[in-house]
Amino acid sequence: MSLEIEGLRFSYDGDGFVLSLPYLKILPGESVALVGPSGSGKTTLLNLVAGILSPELGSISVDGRVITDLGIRQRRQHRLCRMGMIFQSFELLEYLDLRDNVLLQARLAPGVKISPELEQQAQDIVAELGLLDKWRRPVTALSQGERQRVAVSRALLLDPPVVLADEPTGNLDPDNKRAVLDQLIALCAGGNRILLTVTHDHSLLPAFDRVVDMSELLAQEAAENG
Amino acid sequence: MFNFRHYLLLPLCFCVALVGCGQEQKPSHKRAEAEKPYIVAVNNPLYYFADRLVGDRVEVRLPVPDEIDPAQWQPSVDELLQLQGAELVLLNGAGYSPWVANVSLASGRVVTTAEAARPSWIELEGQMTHSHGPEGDHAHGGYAFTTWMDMSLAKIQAKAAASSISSRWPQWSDDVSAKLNSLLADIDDLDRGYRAFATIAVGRQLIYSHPVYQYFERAYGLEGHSLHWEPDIMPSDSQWRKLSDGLGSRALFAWEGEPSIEITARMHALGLQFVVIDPGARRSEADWLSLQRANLSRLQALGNIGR
Amino acid sequence: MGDLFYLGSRYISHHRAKLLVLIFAITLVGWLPVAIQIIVDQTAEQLLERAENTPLVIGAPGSPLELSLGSLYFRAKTPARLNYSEVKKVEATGYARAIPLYYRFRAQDYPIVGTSSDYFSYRGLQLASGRPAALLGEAVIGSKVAETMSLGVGDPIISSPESVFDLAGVYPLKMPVVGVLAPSFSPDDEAVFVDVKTTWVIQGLGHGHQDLNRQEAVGQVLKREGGNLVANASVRQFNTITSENLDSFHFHGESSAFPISAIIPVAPDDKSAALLLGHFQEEREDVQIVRSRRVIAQLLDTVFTVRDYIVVGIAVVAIATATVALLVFYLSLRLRSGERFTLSRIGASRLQVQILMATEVVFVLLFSAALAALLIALTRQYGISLMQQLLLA
Repeated sequence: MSLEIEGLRFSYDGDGFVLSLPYLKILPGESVALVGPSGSGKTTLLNLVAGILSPELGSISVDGRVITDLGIRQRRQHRLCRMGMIFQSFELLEYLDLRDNVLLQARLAPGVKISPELEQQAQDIVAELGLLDKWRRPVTALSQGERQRVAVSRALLLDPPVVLADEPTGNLDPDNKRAVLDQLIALCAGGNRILLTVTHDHSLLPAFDRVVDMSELLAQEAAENG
Repeated sequence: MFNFRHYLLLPLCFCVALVGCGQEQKPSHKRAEAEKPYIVAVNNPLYYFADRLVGDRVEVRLPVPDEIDPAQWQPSVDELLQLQGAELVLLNGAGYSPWVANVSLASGRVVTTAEAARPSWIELEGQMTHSHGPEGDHAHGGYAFTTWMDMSLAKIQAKAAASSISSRWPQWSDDVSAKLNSLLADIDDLDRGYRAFATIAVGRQLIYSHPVYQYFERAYGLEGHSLHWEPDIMPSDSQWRKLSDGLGSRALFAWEGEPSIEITARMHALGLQFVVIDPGARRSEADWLSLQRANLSRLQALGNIGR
Repeated sequence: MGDLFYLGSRYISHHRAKLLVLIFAITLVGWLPVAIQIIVDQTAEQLLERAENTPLVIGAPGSPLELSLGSLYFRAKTPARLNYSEVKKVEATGYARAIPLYYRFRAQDYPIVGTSSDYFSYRGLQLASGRPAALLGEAVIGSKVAETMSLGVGDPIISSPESVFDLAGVYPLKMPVVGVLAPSFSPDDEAVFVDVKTTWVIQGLGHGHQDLNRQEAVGQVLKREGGNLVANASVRQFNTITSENLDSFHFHGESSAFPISAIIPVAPDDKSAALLLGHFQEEREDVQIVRSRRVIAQLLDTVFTVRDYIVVGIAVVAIATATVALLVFYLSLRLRSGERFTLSRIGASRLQVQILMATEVVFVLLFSAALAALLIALTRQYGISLMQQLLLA
């Protein structure tokens, strides 16, 4: 279940920025960090892979399925069912407890039933992240690191082949940054999942299998187009 | 654990409760099905009058047991409830039913038949009244109450009964009127009979077994002396002696009922002529008119008077 | 869909304080105008029904409204007096039977209504237990009286003195309850019925005491005037009428001059009623005869006008409440923009997000509507009696 990007080209209307990625292939179980200065298109690339944005040119395929060919609705469903999303600000629903936040994406996914088996699966992931004792606690009572782990659990529950993380450690203290990232990478590697992470923190880069520097892509594009 | 289904169920439960909550049923304001209408009379003469006037259409009741003098009758609660249910309650008046003052009867249903003759009521002597304080009203004393023994008052009572019956059932007023005329004619016959006896009885010493003949005495000039003798209770020797001592040659003793054999024998021994003049207050096998006619027959037999 | 409603329920649970306040406000403005309408309509219906069932009332000259309210509800101030002789006068017209009413006295909070046995058949009142009053002093009580005072057949009920300081006047009479009426959902449920003569005993116009002719009563006799004994004030009067002392009860003076409050004339047909009305309106200036329905309808016109003003006021409040509710929902939506963004980013469809956002509004409106509907149903069932209890209290 590899992620393959070919001849990708995207620009925002009225903006001079152009994202151009000739080719990128990420293998299952591989963790890739996207680095670069602000405005270099890291989050844009993540959104394109997630199907939130549509490229002008090129294709993105996951396990042979060309996501860029799908309609909005299908891309959304693909995102729900086949991708895990982790955000810098955790993006948990404050009025849900830990359990319901972890099960959130599953509840929204079509054809997914909250069965005892799925709940057990969720508990297993949460246990691996050391949070099982807080299973029914409100997320507002959790620390930053714990909340991000909840977000990780949510992203991994449906066993997605691809996990997209946008600055997952951006709001964590130094101790938690490393711990959370290590756990995320380990879980993705253990599940043979592709992890594509945007990060500004260069101290974390050694934890990844590969680093893609977006500023190099920008320089390449500039050189090609004069 | 409480979940959304419970929230959803709450409004549904309320709505079901609404559907289930019916307006509490108010009882119908229809009056209870009335039993057949009836009239109650408190003594035999009034019973007879009512029965003559409307007995073929309406039940007439005399609730007094045969063995009790209606003047002494005190209705039980059940009997009072029967009176409450009557269309008309025919009272005599002149204090005949003293219990009326202390019972609950709708005034519209109660007819005091002798009320129109109130000025003629005979006040009893020797009755104590009382008042509270020098300025207080008197409580009433008593009256003689066998008004019907004066046939002119009996006619007034019959008319009062007829009037109340016609008011209550105006659809029968013509029939009641015709029957009243017939009844009044019969009472007039009785009156003539008693007057005829009175002319024959002039000068006779009259002794009455009980003080129940006041109106009879006054109406027909047959004043006499009243005792308190019961026809079935042998008076004492002293009572006989007292009677005997006061007897004149043409004494006539009037009993209100047939005296016992022993009393009869004693009277014969005294040479005292006696006759039964039954006021007819109590119900008996014969109706009141027949009783009165029987009185006249006996009086006629005394002196071969014609009617 | 179930999952969305579940998520919605979690939101509701988390924000229940805010939502309860909203539900309370919306329920109130939904329920109140309808409740007022119901209570006024039901009250009017009851008042009118009672008045329809009592087309004519005769009383002393004065306020027709007071006479009507007093005769129908036994709640007027001390009524102006009418002589009992008027009862016979009504009957003498031949147009109607006359049912006397004397409701001057009370047994604690409940009026004692002196009347005749005809009253019960006239009103269609049935007995739940016991029997009608047959003797002087007996009482038949309404169902509410029995319930509130915990009285049943055989228990005594005592009339209340009119004034603590009027020692020589109205004094408490102990009356045995012989019957309890079945509920009639009318003012009769809250009345104590006795024969009119009993109310005269309460008033002191009749009484019972030891026989003054007896030797042992010599100390109670002030003087002897011919055939009349004048009693002094030491005569002990019975404060309860029993089968033993019933015969001692008597009245001083003519009953025709004794007081009553009103007369309900019962005409057999409309023609007789019209003739009676004409007779009293044209030939009698010392009494008044009123058409209850007309009087009560005039009273109700005023009540309806006041009700309409109140309902308009509440409608204005309702508009304000709806505006505030809309604002609250709008602000809530704004506050949840982050949540919408998150849901969208993880893949929720626009419809899913909309349904989730709408759950709050739908729940509040549905719950408020159900609660208001329940309250309206309860008002329809119990509103009148609760209102009466409140007013009585």
